Amino acid sequence: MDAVTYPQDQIVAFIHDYFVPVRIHTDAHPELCAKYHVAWTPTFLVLDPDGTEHYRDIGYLPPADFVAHLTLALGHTALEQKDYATAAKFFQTVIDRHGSSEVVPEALYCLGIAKNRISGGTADERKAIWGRLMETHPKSDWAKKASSAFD
Amino acid sequence: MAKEIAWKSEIESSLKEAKASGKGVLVEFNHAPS
Repeated sequence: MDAVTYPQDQIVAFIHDYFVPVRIHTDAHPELCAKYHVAWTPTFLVLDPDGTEHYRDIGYLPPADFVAHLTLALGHTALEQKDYATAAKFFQTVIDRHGSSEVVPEALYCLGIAKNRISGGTADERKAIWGRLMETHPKSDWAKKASSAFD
Repeated sequence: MAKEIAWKSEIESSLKEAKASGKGVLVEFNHAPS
């Protein structure tokens, strides 16, 4: 990550805009590894200011994929905080700007959830998005999950 | 714009900074520069 991903301007700017970045050296802080159930390095956590974890990832990612994952993490954070409009914005950003990322199916699935919440529980828009997910990423697990809405 | 990531070394103080700034906290656990 230090050699390839972190030096990129887009990574520096993205992290600066959306996060307070913290680096914990596992050898020096075994108590934090235990507290946060860290089993591998690198492990990435996204926390809200109350310390609640909203996203977790492990392993190296190249710059574009790392931004896609962090954008997805911002969507999950907003979704779990019931800020559905913000969540939809981040999930849509994953879809629009990171179309080749493997997290796009998850972003589509979660966009359907956010739109469902925004509409007050109306299924039409969610089913339209999930239908698109099943059409564009039919072999993904997220499409399989979405298919339950059409049984 | 910052030219490199301004890593912090403590989670608790970073949570307070995040609350003040409206940002989230990204924590990387690593054993050495990766």
